[in-house]
Amino acid sequence: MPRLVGVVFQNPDLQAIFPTVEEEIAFGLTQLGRDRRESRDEALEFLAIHGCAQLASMPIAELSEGQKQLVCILSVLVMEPRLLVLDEPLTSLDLLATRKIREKVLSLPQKIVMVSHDFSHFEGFDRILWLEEGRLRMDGPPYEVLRAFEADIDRRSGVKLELAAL
Amino acid sequence: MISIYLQGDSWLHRTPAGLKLLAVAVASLLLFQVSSAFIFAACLAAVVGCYATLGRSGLERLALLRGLSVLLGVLLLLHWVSGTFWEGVPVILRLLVLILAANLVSITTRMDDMLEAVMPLFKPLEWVGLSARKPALCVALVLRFAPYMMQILSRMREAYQARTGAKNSWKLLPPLAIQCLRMSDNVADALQARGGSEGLSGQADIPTGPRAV
Repeated sequence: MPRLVGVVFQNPDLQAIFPTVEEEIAFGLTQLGRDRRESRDEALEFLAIHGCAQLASMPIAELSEGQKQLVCILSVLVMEPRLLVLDEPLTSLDLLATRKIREKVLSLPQKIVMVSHDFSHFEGFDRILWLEEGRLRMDGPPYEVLRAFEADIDRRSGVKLELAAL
Repeated sequence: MISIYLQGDSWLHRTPAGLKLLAVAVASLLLFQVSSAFIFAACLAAVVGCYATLGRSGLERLALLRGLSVLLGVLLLLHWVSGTFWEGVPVILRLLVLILAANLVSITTRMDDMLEAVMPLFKPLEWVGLSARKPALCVALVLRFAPYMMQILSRMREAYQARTGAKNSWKLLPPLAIQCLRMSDNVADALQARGGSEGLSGQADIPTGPRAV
C-alpha cells in the first residue's frame, strides 16, 4: 500500500516522526531500503528540487504550520506514490499557506484525492465526491456538485457534510 | 513542540555520535575515581567552555541549570542534614558535570545519528530473530513524542484551570491517558502509511504499468 498510495494526515504534529526536516524526508527513503548515506543525500536533493533546501536542517518543531504541512507532504511524496491522499491538509492553515499548499498539491504529477469541508479548496479539481454519513451522495464535476451542495446547505443547516475531490 | 536539538554546524555537531557517547561514558567512569574539587572545577569549566563554542544559543541551553539547581540543592541539603556535607560536594559536582556533558551530546546530535550509534546495542536481538530496528525506532518515538504528551497535559490543565480555578487534579489523569492513546493511534497510522516499523525493502516492488485506482 504505501508504495502505491501516500497518505498525508490531518495533524502534521502527529505525522512527523523525526526532529529535523532532512531526517523526516530521509526516513521515507530508508523505508524503501536505501542505506543511510544515500537516503540523506537524496533527501537533500529532493528538498532542493522542491525549493526547500533552506529547511533541511531546521527542527520541525520550529516550522510554521504551513511549512510543517509541506514537509509532511514531501515526506510522503519522496516515496513516489502513484496516488496522494490528503486528509484535510488545509484546515488549520492561514490564507497564504492555504494558497501555497494548494498550488503545490495541484502542480504534482500524482493523482490527488483531497478531503475537505471547505469548497474553496476544490478549485482546480476535476471531480468531487460528496460523502454524507459514510455514503456517496453525489459524484460529478465540481461545478455541479458544489451547486447541489450549496443548495442543500441552504435548505437545511447544521448537518455534517464531507466532500472529497479527485 | 519542544525539541532538544540545537541547529548548527559546530565541531560538536560534526563529531560522530558514537564518539560523543563514548566520551561521556568514559568521562563518567573517570569522574567516579576523582574527588578533588579542583579537578571538578576544571571539568566544569571545560564543559561550560564547550557550550560557549556553540555560540550564544549554546550558552542559552545552560538554562537547564535552573531546574537542575533545585534538584542538586535538595541533594546537598540531604547531605548537610545527615552530616556529610563535604562528601556531598563532589557528588553534586560530578552529577553536574555529567548531566551538562550528556545534554551537550543531546543538543548537538541528530536523532538518526543517535539511532545509528545505539543500533549495535540492539544487535544481539537479531541473533534470536527479533528486529534491531524496532527498539531503535521506539527510542526515537519516545524522544519525539514525550514533549508532545507534556504539551497535551499542559493544555488540559489550562482548560481545567479556566473552568475550576484549580491547577491540578487527579481527574485529569484518565482523559490524559485517553488522549495519549489516541495520539499513539494517529502516530501508528502515520507510521504504517509510510511502511511501518519494518520498512518496505523486503516487499516485492509494485507492478508497473497503468492501474486503476
